[in-house]
Amino acid sequence: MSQVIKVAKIGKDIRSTDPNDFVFHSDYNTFKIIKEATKNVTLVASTTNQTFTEAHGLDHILPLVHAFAKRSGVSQVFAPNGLDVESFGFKLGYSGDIKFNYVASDETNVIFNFDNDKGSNVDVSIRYFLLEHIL
Amino acid sequence: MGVHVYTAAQSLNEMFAQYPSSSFSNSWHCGHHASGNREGAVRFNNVTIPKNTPIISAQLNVYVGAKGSGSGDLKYIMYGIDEDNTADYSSSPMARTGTTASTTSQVSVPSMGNYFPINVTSIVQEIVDRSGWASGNNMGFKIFNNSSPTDVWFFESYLTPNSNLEVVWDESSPSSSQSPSSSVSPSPSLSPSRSSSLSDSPSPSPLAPFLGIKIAKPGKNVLLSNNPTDMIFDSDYGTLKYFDKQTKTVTISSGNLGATATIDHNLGYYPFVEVFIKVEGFNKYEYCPFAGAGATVFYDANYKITTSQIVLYAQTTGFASDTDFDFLVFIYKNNLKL
Repeated sequence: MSQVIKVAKIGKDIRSTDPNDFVFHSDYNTFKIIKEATKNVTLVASTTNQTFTEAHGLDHILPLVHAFAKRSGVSQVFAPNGLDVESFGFKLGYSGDIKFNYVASDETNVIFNFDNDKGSNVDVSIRYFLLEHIL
Repeated sequence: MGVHVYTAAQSLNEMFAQYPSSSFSNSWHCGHHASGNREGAVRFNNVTIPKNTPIISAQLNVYVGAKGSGSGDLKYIMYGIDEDNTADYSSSPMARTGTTASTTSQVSVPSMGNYFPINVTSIVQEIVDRSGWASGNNMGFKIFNNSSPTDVWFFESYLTPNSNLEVVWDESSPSSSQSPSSSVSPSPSLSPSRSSSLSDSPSPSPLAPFLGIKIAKPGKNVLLSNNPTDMIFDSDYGTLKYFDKQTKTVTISSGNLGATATIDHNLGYYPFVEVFIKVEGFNKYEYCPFAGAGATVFYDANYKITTSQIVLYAQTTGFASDTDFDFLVFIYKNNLKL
């Protein structure tokens, strides 16, 4: 008999064979956070395609990376491939001047890319997560 | 006689990686890359060898966190850093005085997750024989490429330090009785290992005692690996902590461009969130924020996170009737700390 460590969800039977019935099951990998940190950047006024990098210290390894951004002085967080929504209207839709274009990783760096359509510099804090490496 | 094992600390400035035109204090490596030589250094803290102790054997077990894809052996020269108590590598150690003793050798770099040994007996002996050496001091080593073939190298990151210094000396000798031994005896992890065989490393050396829970993936050795990617679970690393899943349908009425809705989480901070969306008429969930289009329609969706809500947005052009956007939101308790 193989050895297993498993914790069932409330109301579920520990003898269940459905992995969705468990909080933890040692037959299934957990997605580990190898590293998380915050990077502060300043987006230059009226400039698109601004790239910032941060060495991830996992050289020669491509981590899976996720990130969230927050503009200084604004109480909301936005995700990659999205706008920092500033206005909404049923007839106009939603809009914003700051776009988090993407987050990516290579063998050395985490890469962040933004657009700033405002006429002034904007400070942004980025919280990024390096998850179990993909290559 | 005891076996004493010292592992590099999991912090910056304990390793040093020299590239042709840059350097980092977050890793170490050696070999030859297409871009040029790679050389480095590693430091071990609190090396509890009494001064002038006769060393029976000393071996630096180098962990291969990553390797080059070239063919042939890694050729190297290793020196000790000839100092009483080597400072950390916040500044480059590569020009620090090296020991007279050195090791020149070559090795076929094993696959990632394995080790290869470097005999450093004479190097360690020379350092502990220094007049200023004392048990508990820090000991450093530096390694230089010695004409390795192109793209033959090894690499190790400070985030997963596994390389260790394994030293054997006679603890009954008079010089070794001056300070109590603080050897790190091999001890198994507290969790059951899923591996059925030991690593094929030429010199598998158990790690320092570990207080936590680790569960190795099949084929991986929980006793020998500090690599989180070898583990199903490792209490040294955080995980995404699932909190809630909610669904919300946002309907854009014909004649309108956009719609919005909110989901409450009330965590009091900005949580880690993942959002998926399915647009009416397109039978698939996509990762949000996103934008898509059909022959005559355009649609996109976005969201923002506040300390109490997830605010969802959708907008379209070209749809002739009301359009539903089905949002699927996963909320984790992980605090973004923004």
